[in-house]
Amino acid sequence: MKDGCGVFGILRKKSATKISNLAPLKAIDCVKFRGSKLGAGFASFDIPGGGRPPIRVKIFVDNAETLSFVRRIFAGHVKSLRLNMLGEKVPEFDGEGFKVYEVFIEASPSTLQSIVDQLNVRLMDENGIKGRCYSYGRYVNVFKDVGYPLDVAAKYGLDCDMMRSDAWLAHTRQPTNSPGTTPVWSHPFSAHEVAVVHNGDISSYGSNQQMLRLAGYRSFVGTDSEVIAFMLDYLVRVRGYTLEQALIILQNPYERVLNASPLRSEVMRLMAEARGCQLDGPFTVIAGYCDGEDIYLMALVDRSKFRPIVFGEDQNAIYVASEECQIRCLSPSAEVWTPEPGEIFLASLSKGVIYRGRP
Amino acid sequence: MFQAAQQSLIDHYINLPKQTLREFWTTAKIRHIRRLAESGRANRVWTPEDELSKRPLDRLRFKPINESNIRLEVDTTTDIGGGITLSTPLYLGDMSFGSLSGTANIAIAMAAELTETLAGTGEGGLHPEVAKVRRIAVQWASARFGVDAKVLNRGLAVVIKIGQGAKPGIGGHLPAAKVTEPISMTRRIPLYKDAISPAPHHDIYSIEDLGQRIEAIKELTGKPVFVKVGATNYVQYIATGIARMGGDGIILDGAGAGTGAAPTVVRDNIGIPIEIAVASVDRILRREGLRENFTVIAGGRVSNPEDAAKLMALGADCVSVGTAALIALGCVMCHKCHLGYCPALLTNKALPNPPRMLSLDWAVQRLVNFVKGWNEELKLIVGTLGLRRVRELVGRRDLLEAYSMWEETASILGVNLVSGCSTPLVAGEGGYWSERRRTHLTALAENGVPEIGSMGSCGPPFVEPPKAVCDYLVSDGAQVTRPSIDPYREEIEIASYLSGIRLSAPIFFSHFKSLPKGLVELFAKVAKAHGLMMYTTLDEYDDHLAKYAGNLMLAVDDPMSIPENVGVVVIDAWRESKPFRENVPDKPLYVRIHSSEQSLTSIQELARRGFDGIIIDTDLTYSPATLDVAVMTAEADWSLREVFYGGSPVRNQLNLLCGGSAIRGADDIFKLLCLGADAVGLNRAALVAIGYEEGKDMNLHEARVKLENFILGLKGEIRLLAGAAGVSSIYTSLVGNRELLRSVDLDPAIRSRLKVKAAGT
Repeated sequence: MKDGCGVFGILRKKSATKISNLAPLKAIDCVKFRGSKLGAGFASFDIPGGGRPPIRVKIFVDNAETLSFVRRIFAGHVKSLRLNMLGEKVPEFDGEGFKVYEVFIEASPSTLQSIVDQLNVRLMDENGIKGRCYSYGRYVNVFKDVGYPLDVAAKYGLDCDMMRSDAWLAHTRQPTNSPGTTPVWSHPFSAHEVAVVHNGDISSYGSNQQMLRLAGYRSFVGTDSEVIAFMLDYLVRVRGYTLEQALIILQNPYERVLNASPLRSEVMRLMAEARGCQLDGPFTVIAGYCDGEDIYLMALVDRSKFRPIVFGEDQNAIYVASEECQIRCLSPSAEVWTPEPGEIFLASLSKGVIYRGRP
Repeated sequence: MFQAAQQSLIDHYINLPKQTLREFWTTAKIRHIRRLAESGRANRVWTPEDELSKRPLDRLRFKPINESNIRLEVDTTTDIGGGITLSTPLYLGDMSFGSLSGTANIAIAMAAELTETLAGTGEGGLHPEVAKVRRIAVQWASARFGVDAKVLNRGLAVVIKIGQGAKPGIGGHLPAAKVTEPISMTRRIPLYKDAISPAPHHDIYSIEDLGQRIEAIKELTGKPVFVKVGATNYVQYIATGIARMGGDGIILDGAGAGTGAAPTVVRDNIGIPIEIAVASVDRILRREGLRENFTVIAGGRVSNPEDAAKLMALGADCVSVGTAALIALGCVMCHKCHLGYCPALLTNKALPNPPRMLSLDWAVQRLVNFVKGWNEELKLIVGTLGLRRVRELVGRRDLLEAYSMWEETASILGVNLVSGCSTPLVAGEGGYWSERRRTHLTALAENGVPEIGSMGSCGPPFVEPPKAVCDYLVSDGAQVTRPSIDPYREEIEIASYLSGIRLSAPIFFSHFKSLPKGLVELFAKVAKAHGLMMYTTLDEYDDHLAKYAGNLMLAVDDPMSIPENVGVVVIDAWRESKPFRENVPDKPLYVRIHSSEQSLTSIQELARRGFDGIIIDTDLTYSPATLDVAVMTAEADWSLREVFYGGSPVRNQLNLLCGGSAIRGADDIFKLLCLGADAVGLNRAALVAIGYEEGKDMNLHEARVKLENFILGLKGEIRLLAGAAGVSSIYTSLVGNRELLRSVDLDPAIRSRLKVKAAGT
């Protein structure tokens, strides 16, 4: 069974060197049959040496007019002194399709969120999509587009050894509940220092999106995968939960599993406090997060494990993938294991594997 | 091998019984089909007004015609892909051997052969006589009953059945009584055991899985593959997925479609009308550039050639008829197929030597005539529209106009609205209760399991008149992109939590006014036994009720009079909450409000006053006007979510309940949960279910059995609706999940208050 999009995540170990962009490309390209030409993407997580990097904001724009609109929004915030512009990369508009405008800024998380909201609400309405701000963190960098993984990698120059990072996510997409005709629907989805790739179709989408809307998130591209990124960001950044707590809330364990758990009352409290953040329906989610000091690779599977996922570890890296072959093609002798349904997986650069996804 | 030598053969129509309840298939509709089947000729061009129903399709008409353009010669041949050409765009749809008893299956297949149309075989193996016919499409459904490579290679095409209009999100049902020896042999299943097919295909949990099956079946058979789905919330995306995965076409089955057996709660509450599905699927397929060489077959309440023509103008290439074909064979619409005693000998048990049997010759002749007559009428319609070929009608929305419809519905259909809007609903008008509802509740209390019914839905809003906003809401059936969860075999959690108190289901008993003491105690007892709550007042509280105090939500007006151990304390909104809080600091303190615009304005203030829960009681009378409980609940939920306390939404600590005599059953409960209620209360519905009549003594033991059955039945129905929607936990994923609902032709002003999307969007 192909059962859905291909997903992949890799995190280096403390002792190992940074990971080339070719590793996630190889691992996602080997399951490209799981996807379609309707979207692929990569996200890198990296803590560079030499101090805190600026916030990198990446925005799809469809033409020069939209671009100047976007630049005006940023300029407006500079005037109100809540934002420092540190540099930008302005695309050329030659031919069809969305281009990427990249800008480096310094701003508080709330200022950043309000700019992103302003941009996204106005770039997307019933008349169509003019663009989308899709990546805006210090340590995360998303590359995505329409096409197979190789096409998308080539577009960003990621098809040759160009970039080394502490962790990567990768995705090849088979759209199920939104068109895949523009890059705004491609994965990874990201918010602040979180990025996720997802294989599934969550039935809790309505509750989740409603919760986010009321928590202040203003613009949605309309896919369930995006709300997962937003929820992880919301639980960790806004509500202050630990990653472990956030993963348990999102994962939404069976009551009978909880009843047998010593953590029952603690988890029940979390579930009640964060209602609307639970996922239901089939999902395999791989997520990355950086708090500035450590980088985390996480994974979630639904209660019934409707979608495949495997984990791997060798002396250099920790892997999460849709299929074992994705891990084997990078590390033939890695230890590989699968999770129990409804378990969480958590690993960090400095701590290694924290939750294995099975008892 | 299933035919006996000597039988009494039935070769005439039986008289139509009087229809006492509202029915989509009215006697006028049935008579028209019989006329076609007897004469084989056209009877008319346009449908007379008295035959029209309330559905949107019947509020569309073809624009006035320039008579000089009328064509007399019309070509009706239709190519549906894979080299299959039909003499007329008609597919005789998907009725299994098992749901039908054999002769009807053969008649349908033979009629398809003789008229050069196509017959779908339905789930469940092939009748040996049907297998001999070429113009059949063999079905591959979730249980794979009797399917093997040889079977799939019969006929012209293969149909992968994902869902059907009468029960999207759950699998086929063949009641035990109909699993006779021939059926057991053909399907390879145990004798006289319910045959309930899995809700999803367990090897199709995604579009790509479906793609692999399509590929595999094509490789095996070399035949075109069609995918049949129920018309649900995301049907347009499912359609694009099927097209992208190499399917040759989609068979869309709309709400209200017929069935041999289905849980009525699913049949009446899941799925959208076929006209909306067709318009939406056609639009999205075109937008994605996938409409070329992809066939859209539309079924579900296709009752005459004018319906067919309208659906084609909305974007269908071909229509599927099941019920209409059965009517041509003599069905009198008694809705009892699941019992196996069909008076017309169509859906009776398949027995090796039945004493009475349908005459095959007669049946084939009726159906052949029906198809011919249908085709002649369709020709008249198409010719009158000035078209030379029926193909030219496909997608010609410009030929249609809409009337008496909301602008919003017309624009989803893509048809110009010429006059008027739909009749606005007045909440509760004419009482909340229809005869069908009463019967349904009584059946739950009798059997303790979800009620099974057959043939198409007669539910609101298009057949039974709508009586509440919930009647305009339909729920989702998960298909392909995410699997539905099998309510019979998989785990679906329906528990809910109120301020830390676990309810085994999101149900409580609302306040019973002036009920005999013994019954009130009985309700409390059953609430305790089933892990539910009961809401009552202090003046009814006595030593008997004290035994069940933990399961009571007790309305009190004096802080000093709160009994110990009571589960939840309830006060009126105008009271000072502080003394109550101080007196019972550890108890959840709820406030009760009436369902009105005025209550809505004070909701946020109540949240700030620190209540643990709000109960919307539809029985608290209020003037000037009470508000429909759906609107009240949805808006209350929304405005509660806008209140934050210490960065966290107050709604997460505050429970919202609604209940009262406006709640009519599991469908209302489920929809109100989606609109934001944590639990829903009922009182009148329970009394109707157990057959309580004021002033009449009730045997308490009998009442208890019925009440417990009723609760079990409700739980079963909630599980069915949740599983069909792909929800495995009510508490975490259903409450406030408006995305699972769609409104059908509901006043847009009300729809936007609910924050529910319209069907087809």
